[in-house]
Amino acid sequence: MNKTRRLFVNSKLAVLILILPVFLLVSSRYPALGFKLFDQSETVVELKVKAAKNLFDYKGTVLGEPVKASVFFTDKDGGKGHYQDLWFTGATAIGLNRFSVLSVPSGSSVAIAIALEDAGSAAQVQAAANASLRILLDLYVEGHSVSRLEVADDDTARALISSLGQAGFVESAAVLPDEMVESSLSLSVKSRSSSRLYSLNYGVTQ
Amino acid sequence: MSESSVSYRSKRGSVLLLSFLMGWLVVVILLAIVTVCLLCVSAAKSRSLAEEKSLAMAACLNKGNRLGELNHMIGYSRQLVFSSRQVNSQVLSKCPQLKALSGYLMDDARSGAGKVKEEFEIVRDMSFRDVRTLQESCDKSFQGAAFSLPGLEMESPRVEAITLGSLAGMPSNASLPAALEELREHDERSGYKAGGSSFYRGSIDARLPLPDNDLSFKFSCLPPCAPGQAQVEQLRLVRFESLESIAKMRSQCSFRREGDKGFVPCAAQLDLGAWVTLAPGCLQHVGFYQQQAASCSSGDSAAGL
Repeated sequence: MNKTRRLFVNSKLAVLILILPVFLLVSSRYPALGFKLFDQSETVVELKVKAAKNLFDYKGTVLGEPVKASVFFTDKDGGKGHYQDLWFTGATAIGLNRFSVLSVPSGSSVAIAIALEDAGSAAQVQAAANASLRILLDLYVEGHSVSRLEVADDDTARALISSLGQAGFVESAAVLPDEMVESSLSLSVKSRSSSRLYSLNYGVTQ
Repeated sequence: MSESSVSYRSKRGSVLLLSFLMGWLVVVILLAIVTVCLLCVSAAKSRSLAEEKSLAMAACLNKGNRLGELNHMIGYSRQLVFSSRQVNSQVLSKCPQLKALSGYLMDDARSGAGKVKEEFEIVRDMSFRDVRTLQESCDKSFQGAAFSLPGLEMESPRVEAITLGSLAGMPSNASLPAALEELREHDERSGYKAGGSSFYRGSIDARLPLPDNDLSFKFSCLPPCAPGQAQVEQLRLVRFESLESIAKMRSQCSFRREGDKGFVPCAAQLDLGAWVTLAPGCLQHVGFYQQQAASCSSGDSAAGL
């Protein structure tokens, strides 16, 4: 009986040992598949930022050249939901139009995929940073966490980190390696072109 | 032949005199008819001019749908401040370690509301300035309405007064929030909703609940219309009685605000006047002839922003 049981346990281990390298091979070749298998609960929220052309288009306006940030999510039926539109002038948010409740599976981690119409526009980067923080807090108070912000390239990632710095975020590289730090919130910014991750902390205390 | 009939016939020239008198009478009647016709034509012309110019002034008040855009942005600014306050309260109770971040976003939203208010004042001043500029060009185009006949002269009409205002009972083009239920309920309770519609009432200062009731969110009256309509389709003539004055300008002076509400006007009333002189010389009778027209503009009901 004992022998049979040992054989059964050993065979289970053998199966696991066999499966693990196959899985690692598959996930290295098809990262998306491996990622999906590892992290079933990640949800992507899209943030599209563009210039709001023809809005307040007259001389003397203080709201000139506004930027619009639209937030979309994938609802439970797989359809695209429109959460809200935000308007900015310079680095200041001036308006919000909410269309629906941000429906994210409970306890899931969220990645915010940022798409800028003009990555060279400082106003659009600032708007993206501000809108990301607003989404982050909306999700945080509902018990979700934001794992990372994704941008197209390293230059945009750098510009975004600089804008987030105005809100009090500190890049991990700015903290000396031997320093003990505590932070209230950690966030990563990922560059899609280089797959590089930049780590940020908020509310750092030493 | 009797003596009396001879004496009657001997009065020469009576028929001639009668013919002259009849002739004069016909001429006078014809002249009177021509004068009345000319007066009617002139009145119709000046009425059409007044209507045309008041429509141009109403168009000027919402040039490029700027007032419509402003009303929408005022609504969005309210939503932003309300939502930031909601998140801030939840952060304080659920995750106080992030209170500085939510406070930063709250201050940012309030600062945005300040900018929108500043824009409101810019648009209001711009409305008065643009109408004033238009009025200066009006007087030149009224020259054609003048005419002169022997004994009757009508000067070309000129602008006597311009009244800018809103329309009684007309809503604004901004909609109540679609997904912020608490704010929607607050707005309905506070009577900010125009009855039977999904729009805010016109000419109201829609304050938020405490502690953000120090911020002013003024919705100006602007009849909502279907989005994408050409501006010429958004204009219409309205009755004078429905116009509630915001500012008035009398003969070449600048606009003086009436009341302390200070909303952006969406309607214009134009009062034209012309001097009419009847009969020359010492029998001269001078009268003043007036013509009025009021028009209003509309704004896109959907946020084409």
